Amino acid sequence: MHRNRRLGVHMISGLFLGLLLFLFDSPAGGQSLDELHKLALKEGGTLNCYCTLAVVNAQKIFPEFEKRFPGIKVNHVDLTADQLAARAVAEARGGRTIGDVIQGSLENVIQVFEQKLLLEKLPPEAAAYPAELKGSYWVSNNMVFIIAAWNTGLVQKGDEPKSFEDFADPKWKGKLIAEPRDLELLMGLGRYKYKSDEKAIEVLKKIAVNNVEFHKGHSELAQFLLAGQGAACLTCYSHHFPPQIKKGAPLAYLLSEGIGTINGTAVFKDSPHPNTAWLFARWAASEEGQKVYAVGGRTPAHPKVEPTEKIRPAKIYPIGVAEIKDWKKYEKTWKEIFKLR
Amino acid sequence: MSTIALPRTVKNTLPLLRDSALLVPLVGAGVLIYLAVLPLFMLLLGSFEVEVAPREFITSLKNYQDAYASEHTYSTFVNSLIFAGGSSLLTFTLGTVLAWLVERTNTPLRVIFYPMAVIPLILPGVLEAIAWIFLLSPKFGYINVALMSLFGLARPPFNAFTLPGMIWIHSVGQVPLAFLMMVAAFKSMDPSLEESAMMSGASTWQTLRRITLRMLMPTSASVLLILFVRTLESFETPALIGIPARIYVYTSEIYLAFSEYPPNYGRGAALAVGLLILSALGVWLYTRSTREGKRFQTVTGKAFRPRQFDLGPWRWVGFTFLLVYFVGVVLLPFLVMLWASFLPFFAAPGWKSLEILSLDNYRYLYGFRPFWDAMWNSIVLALLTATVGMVLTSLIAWVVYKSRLPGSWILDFLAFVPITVPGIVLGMALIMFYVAFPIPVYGTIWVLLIAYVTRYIPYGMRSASGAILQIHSELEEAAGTSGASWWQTFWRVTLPLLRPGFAAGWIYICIVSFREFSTSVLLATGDSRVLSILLFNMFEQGQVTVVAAIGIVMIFTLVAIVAVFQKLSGRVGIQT
Amino acid sequence: MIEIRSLFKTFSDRRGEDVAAVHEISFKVEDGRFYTLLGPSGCGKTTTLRCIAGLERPDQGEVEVAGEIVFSSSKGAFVPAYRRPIGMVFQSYAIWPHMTVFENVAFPLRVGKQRFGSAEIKSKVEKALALVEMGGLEDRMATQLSGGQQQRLALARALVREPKVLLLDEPLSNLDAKLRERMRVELRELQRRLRVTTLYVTHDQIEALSMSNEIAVMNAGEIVQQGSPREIYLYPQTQFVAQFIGSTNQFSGKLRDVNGDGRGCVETSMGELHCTVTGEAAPGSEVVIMVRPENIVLHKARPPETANVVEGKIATVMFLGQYLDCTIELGRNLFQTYQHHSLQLRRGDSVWVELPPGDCLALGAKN
Repeated sequence: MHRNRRLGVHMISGLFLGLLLFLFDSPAGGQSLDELHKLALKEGGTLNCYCTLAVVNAQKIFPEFEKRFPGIKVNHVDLTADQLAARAVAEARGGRTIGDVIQGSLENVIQVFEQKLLLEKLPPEAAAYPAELKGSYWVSNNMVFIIAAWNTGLVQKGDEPKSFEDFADPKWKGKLIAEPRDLELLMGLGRYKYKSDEKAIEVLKKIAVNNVEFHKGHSELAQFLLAGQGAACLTCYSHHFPPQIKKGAPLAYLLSEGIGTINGTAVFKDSPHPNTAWLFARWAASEEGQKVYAVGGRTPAHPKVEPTEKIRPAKIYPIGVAEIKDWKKYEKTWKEIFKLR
Repeated sequence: MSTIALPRTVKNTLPLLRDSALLVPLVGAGVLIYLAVLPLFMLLLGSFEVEVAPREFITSLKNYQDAYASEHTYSTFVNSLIFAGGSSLLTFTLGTVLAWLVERTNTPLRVIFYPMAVIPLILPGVLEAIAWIFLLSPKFGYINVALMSLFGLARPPFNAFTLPGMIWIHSVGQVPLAFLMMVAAFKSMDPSLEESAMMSGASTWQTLRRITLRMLMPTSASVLLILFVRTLESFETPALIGIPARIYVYTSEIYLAFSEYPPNYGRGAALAVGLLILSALGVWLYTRSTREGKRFQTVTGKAFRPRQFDLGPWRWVGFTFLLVYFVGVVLLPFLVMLWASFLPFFAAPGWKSLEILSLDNYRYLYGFRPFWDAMWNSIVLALLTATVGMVLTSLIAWVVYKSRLPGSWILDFLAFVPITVPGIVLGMALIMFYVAFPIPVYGTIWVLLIAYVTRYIPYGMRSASGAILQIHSELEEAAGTSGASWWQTFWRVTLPLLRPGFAAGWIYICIVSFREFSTSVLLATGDSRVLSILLFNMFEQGQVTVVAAIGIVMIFTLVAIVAVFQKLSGRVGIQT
Repeated sequence: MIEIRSLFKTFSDRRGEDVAAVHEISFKVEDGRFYTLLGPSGCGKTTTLRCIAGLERPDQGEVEVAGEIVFSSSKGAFVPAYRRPIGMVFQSYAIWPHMTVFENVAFPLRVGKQRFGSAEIKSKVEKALALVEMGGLEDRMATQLSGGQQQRLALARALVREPKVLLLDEPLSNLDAKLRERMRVELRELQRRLRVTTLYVTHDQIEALSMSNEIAVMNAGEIVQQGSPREIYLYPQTQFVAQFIGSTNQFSGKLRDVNGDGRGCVETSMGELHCTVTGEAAPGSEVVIMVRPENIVLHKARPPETANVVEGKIATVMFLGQYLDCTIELGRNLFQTYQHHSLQLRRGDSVWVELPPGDCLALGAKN
């Protein structure tokens, strides 16, 4: 009896699911990627990817996608996440949607969603992800870790920082560089490490006394660190370092703690190539896609895929939707602490 | 062709001529209005639109309030003013001294310095800025590092990321232009004006001060003005130095309003309108001042054999100046770029870095698809822009100077309009226009083609109209009376006669299109990315040594274009 | 006084080869004289002038102006242009467009070694302007002047310092024909009055003949003949001089004999002609005979007992107002003649042509 009921539930839900699949046939969840590939080819074979991947990563990732699904070419619109969001919004104002997929920092994906431009639907592959790595319209694609790093040529052995608050020491005066938009540091420290915004502000204010030099762009920041523009970097991206260190660069980075930020993937509501967009979104969230991202030099979000390099910190302070909700408030404080514009 | 002003005669004698001869001006006006006027009109409209909810707009002056009454208004204004003023003064001074030494004195070896002064003209501004970051960055800049270790300085003597740094970096890129303009000014000056001063008993310095410099004043004023406007419109240095250093000028404010989230197109458009008005004012003053300048010319259009000033022992001072300039300003940026292109990552100079030199960056480029895509786009765009631009401007110049149609000056004016439009403003206007306009060019290289052609119409007009004016109307009339239609005449008589001017304009547009940055930065994305933008993106992404390699390849490509062209035509026209 | 001794000056052309602009030139201009360098363009006359002015540095030789050696290659002396006591008028006038008429003329007084007070400058400028009949135009901008006025202004500026020597570089060539004629007279009168030693460069033979005390005809960097205008015109020493100054008919012949006073007999295709032999020509040598068109006399019938009469046929007749320009076929040669318009001549008429022996100049063909 008990067993029968279960079977009945299964049957009913199966039927219901089948009906659903039948009703929502086009960009559907249940097809295999290869079936979707065929539909995608009918759309012309182009994917406009509004993706923040750096050229060096994109170089390794997109050709794999193109190889996996022959006939589809990725047009990589390569800008920073806020520029991509701005562009998508601007295009929408002109009455157009050009992009198929957006992939970038979660806060920017949320901004685009707030402009009602994104499809509120998750690929079936999202099921494998924990709740904090997906929303109703986005799945995390990769994680970016904000960590501290330093130039081993400029920082003596034994002087290395052990945690973020070490940078409050006056010995770092005039030696620190950071990215002006990384208020995630404030959020991460306040919400997770100290569980007190006041404490986080106090620590950061002490660091600010050391005259942090700000440069836009994390890759540039890593290069500046490497070239000796600063001795240590307050907010660098961990995945920038292994390739450089392999080339012999005098760099080291802190992996005991880091701020985890999410790069999310979402599909445009009025995407000009809906099946292609969906194909990419699913592939990017799938295990095979995530492996490609790992080889491409990123930290995959998929729980089963490990990054190929040591770039995931031991302690992660994740910046999720809840933190992003208070973005404006933290941004104001952040700018006040460091007297940013 | 002179009969066109008298429609009746045309009707009677040359019926074939009539249609094309009226069609061309009308189409020309249409094309120009479409290219140059409509996007600006959209920009103006956009500057009054304020978004109240996603995609709901009201008309308001709020954008102007945001743009011109915010806390940053004053600093942006002051920065722009210092940047443009300082740059134009420095550029002018350097350019004039160089031009004078090379053109008018007996400084040793001055002949070989002439081409060396002009060569940097083909360098893309983005590269120039990057090279100077390598040299003048306070922490790792080679010049700073060298001076600090040489003199045991505790602090770096220079900092690229400051207003003076911006002024210097922008100026050295503009010096060739000032140099050429001043050489032209020195050349068109009747040497007997100076000789007669010497015959009146004035010494070398008295002549220089009381005659030469005074005679140059009107030209100098207009050169300064045009340099000022160009600096105000430029975006390379403000983007690569200004934005990281948080020194904002008008162009970077416009760029940020467009590309930072939340995008404030209205504010950007309002800023753009202001910049447009400012530069239009500058250009207007410039044309007025050059017209005034003509008043001073006793003999016009004549090339003189310039008189050389005998500097005596001072000529070695002049020589040292030239040498320092060329080693420091022309050679050094190139060398540092070359050096960096062999490094795996940017490192301070030293014996240690010798061990890590390799061709890896070039090997990487070889298999790097975005590079080849961008290269292809840049070359295709340069060739197409030059060809389309020159055919278009030749036709327009013909209408303006030969057809004698009433109102053809309107065409002349329309073709002049783009010169007042800063590159970044044009990019912005075109985005606003083509996003909404039902022609699918947005996001493709075709929108870049449209942008480049629009931008360089005034340059094309200059060489085309110069060439057109030299063609005697009777040559065309003879073709007409031989039974050639208007198109046949234009194609078989006028265009071949235009060839020298056409070629000079073509190569110039080719070069400037190849290195265009400030319009492309908003328009070129994804598949339509061009080399200068790839450079910019990759530099922002920290791939500085690969960027250096791309830069070196780009320089050699440009040199190759010029060399091939020079081989083909035997001359290169570089205009200002 | 100006004296030039063995002056050499070469320029390098575009290919870098040296081209002699002035090749061993020597001459002397006495005080108060009007001396003209006449020659076609590129003959080196302007270069010579500029060497005297100090605007060019000669390669070799010596230049003496008003008793001072201003250039000497052997002594290594070179006085810069602005220290030479010279006034100069340029072909383009070189009026400074950024100054008024007054300032243009005052300039030499303001910059020279000698300093003047403003009252003195004023009176000197006014005097100079009055000299060229430009009084009252002091406050005009230089660019508002006509060509003739600019020319006068340039002259006033050259004279205001009261130079010892005045150099004029084709000063009339930019004026129209009528004005040029008037300025010729005025310029010469002014020079006579001021008694300033003047060196004048021109390619216009009429200017040279009408104004000069002495003319040096130059060709290819050398002086080919020096002398008074009359000598130059009447007794050209070379074919070049004969051709360059005035028009001339030329034909060749062989000198049969020549007597002591220079009269000779030449065998030509038109028969034997009596000529005046100039230059050096030995009997038996090839000579060129030159006759000026205005010296040829036409006769309807053969004139009796006249030497050098040849029969010819009228080829063309052109009525030019003052005279008839008439070409005559003489054997294989065409001769140009000027005849009084009262003469009734028609194409194809047979005429007798008299070539007066005194006007037939026989020159050694080498020259």
